[in-house]
Amino acid sequence: MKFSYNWIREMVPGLDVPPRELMRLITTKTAECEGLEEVGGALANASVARVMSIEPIGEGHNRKALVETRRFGTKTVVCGAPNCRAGMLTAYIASGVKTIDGVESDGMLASGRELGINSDHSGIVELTSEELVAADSVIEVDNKSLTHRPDLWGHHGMAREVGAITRRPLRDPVRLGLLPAAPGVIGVQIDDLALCPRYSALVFENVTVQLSPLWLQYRLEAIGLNTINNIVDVTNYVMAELAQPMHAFDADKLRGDTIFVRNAWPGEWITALNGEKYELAGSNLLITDSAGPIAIAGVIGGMDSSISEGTKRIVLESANFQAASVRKTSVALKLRTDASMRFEKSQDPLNTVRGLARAVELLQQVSPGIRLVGGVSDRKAEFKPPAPIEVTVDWLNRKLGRKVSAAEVRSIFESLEFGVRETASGRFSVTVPSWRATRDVSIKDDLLEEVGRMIGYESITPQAPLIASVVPPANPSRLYHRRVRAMTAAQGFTEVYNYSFVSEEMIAPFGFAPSGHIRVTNPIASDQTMLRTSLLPAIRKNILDNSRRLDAFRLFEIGREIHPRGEGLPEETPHLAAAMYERHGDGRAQLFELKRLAECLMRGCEVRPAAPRPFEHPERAAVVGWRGQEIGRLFEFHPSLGIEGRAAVLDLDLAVMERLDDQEIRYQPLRRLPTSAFDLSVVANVREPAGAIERRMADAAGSNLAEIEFVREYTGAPLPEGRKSVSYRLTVGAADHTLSSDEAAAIRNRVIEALQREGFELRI
Amino acid sequence: MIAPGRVFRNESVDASHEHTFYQLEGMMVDREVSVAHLIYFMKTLLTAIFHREVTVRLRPGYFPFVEPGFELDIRCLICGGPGCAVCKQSGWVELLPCGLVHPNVLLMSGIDPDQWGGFAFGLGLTRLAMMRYGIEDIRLLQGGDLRFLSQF
Repeated sequence: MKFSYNWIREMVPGLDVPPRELMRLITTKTAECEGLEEVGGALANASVARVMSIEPIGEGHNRKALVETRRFGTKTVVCGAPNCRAGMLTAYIASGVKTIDGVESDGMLASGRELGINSDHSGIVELTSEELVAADSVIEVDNKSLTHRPDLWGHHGMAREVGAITRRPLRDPVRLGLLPAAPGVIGVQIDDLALCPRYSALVFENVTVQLSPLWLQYRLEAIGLNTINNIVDVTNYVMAELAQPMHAFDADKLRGDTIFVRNAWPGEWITALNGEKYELAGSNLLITDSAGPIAIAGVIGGMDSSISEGTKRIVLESANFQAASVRKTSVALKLRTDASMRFEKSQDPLNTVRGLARAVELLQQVSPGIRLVGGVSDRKAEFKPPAPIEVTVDWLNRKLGRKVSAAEVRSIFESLEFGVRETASGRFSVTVPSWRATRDVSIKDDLLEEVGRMIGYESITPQAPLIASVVPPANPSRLYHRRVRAMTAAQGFTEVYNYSFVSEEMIAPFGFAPSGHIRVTNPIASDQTMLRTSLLPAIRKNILDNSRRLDAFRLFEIGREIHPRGEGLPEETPHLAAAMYERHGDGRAQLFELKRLAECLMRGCEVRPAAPRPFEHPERAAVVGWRGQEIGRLFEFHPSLGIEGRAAVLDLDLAVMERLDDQEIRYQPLRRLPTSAFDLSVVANVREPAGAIERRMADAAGSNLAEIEFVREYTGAPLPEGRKSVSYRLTVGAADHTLSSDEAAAIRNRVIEALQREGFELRI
Repeated sequence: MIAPGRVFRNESVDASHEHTFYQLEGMMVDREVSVAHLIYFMKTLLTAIFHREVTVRLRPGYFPFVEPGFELDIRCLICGGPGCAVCKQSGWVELLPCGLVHPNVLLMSGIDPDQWGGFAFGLGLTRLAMMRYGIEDIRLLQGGDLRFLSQF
């Protein structure tokens, strides 16, 4: 929303705070100002001028003009404008001497665009009075900071704030006395007063449709509104001044003598002022005449009944519509207008007749000879004034953490035109004005804000809160995840953050059923329609993306799987997904590295081959367990997933791991008696998991096995192709005596025999 | 109460907007909680975060769950006030929304707003990280590009 500084100053007479300082004050006390724009800058060097005589120069369209300027005396200028003629009143800019077509031109005659007051550049401006408008500053306020303030969508509302901030009186531009007491001549019928709490209308005759005077064009153009003609411009002027959207119908194009406010009927449509045709739905509120729609209520007028050059009589609408209804219609039709933006903020229903009164005054200025026909047609719901709010100075002081006097509190409320009555010492009964009561102010905490912002929050001295000192509740999950993150990062993995959303396309290669996912009702993008039940689809995407640039890398994510449950909130399970990629090579080393990561995170975990899931490599899929409990999977992505090279993944359930990890460590007494050790090398198929061999050895060794340790693995000559040798060191010892060499040898033989029975060959 | 975490918002993604980001939400509830307490707490928290004294200012802001609601600005850490490109020549950088907890929020939680009050704030961690490392495109944070991520 743009605000003209001059316009505000019209309503806050004597305002002497310069625009930039005013901007700062509005930002700290009312709403965020985003920018300041100087308009009509050329006006500083401009003057009203009358063209005394003109004479042609050579062949071109340029002519030499003698002009009588008010500020700079008589000047000779060269002017190429087609409308330049002797006797006209126009604007002169002292732009310096220039020679044009051999003639010395001292300054120039200016178009509206050159003056910076409108966009007209078809000729020099035609003035009707000896007054030229002044340069202005336009303050732009962030619309988002005005969502709760319907009153600030007009200059008068902002002027009220400026008056309160600068402690100057506010001038009301509205003179209600201009409205005749006579009954209205046009009927108004409202179906549902909840959707349209008020509809006020006036009829005018003897209308002249023409261009608006320059001052009016300038005001509208300065704040970014287009000028159309004097009638439409007045409706926009009133909207920009009082925040009351208005609409003018050509009365002679309306059918019947009644205006209806009702919801659209099936099949109805309208061609709007913007030239677009809109098919209307039952939820759209319409303004209609006896034959059909003439406007979409609160959004836009219809083309058929719009003001044109030949318009002689008009109906001026000043109505109030329900915010939610206007919002819904505007969103459904994808049509946001200056009117709908204002109605969406819950406008004040008492404002409709104020808008009409202001329009009467302006129309009389811009359409000479215009006459009112009858008085205001006004249909409305019953408005109950809001109940006064009780507030004490003591409560305000305690909430602010600063002393404010009763007199100061009263003066703040009064400057914002709240009703104030001191019912007891330090106790106020505050009545909220209608323009703040629609949504914004209803409880004493809202009043606290009024006082706080006006005294200025910078006037409050920071104060340390008194807090009861207690041990904060622990958050072990957070600490555990931090440990997992640090460990994984320490092994050279880079953390990625993926979205919690996936698409059907992303999960399809994994064979996950879309029905197993929670769907987003209003997805932001087509690739983010469901909540993820696994981190893996996004990890695959990370691998695909990065493998375009890198030959090898490792990455991980800690995130939540989100699984729907029968009822209630979904189950969220934290997972670690760590991945390694290599473009070249057979990928074996990656599996060992990931296994090692699992062991680092969960000491004593085991990896056992498992039946592959559809997206896992059939020969490289394993379950990761700890003391018989599954904690995750270790696998290589199936070649069908389209990854060029090899990508292995460790996917761990951190919720389960955190629970298991929590088990208390029990100290094992140190072994007092000596142990003995021996090495065994087993020849096996290369695909035979070393873990399986190790378990067989451990089982056979029995209770006196103190430790079993992997030593090395060997492939190559003299072993045949497809065979490997795996070596282990077994340490044995008993708790109650030193094992004799025979006892140790017996254990060794038992292990050898057990392995041989299973078909393994031993290299002893 | 302090709650860091991943949050979501209906927002079209571009260089400075994301629908998924990280936020630190905090709230204090006690018998007597004032704006003066809020300012003190925010100044202390931000001084600890930025490792230097920060100047804060509150101005009105509208958030339905606080009343009064504030936008908290800090004095621009780059130029220190005269104005630069980072603070858009204003000398201030909008950092976080905060306010006194709306009585309806307390009521919802079974707390009597006549007896208790509170303040609340939401600190955008994503935004802080972007300021700290000079990251100009928010999409990099969740883009999974190791050329970017491995710099940290």
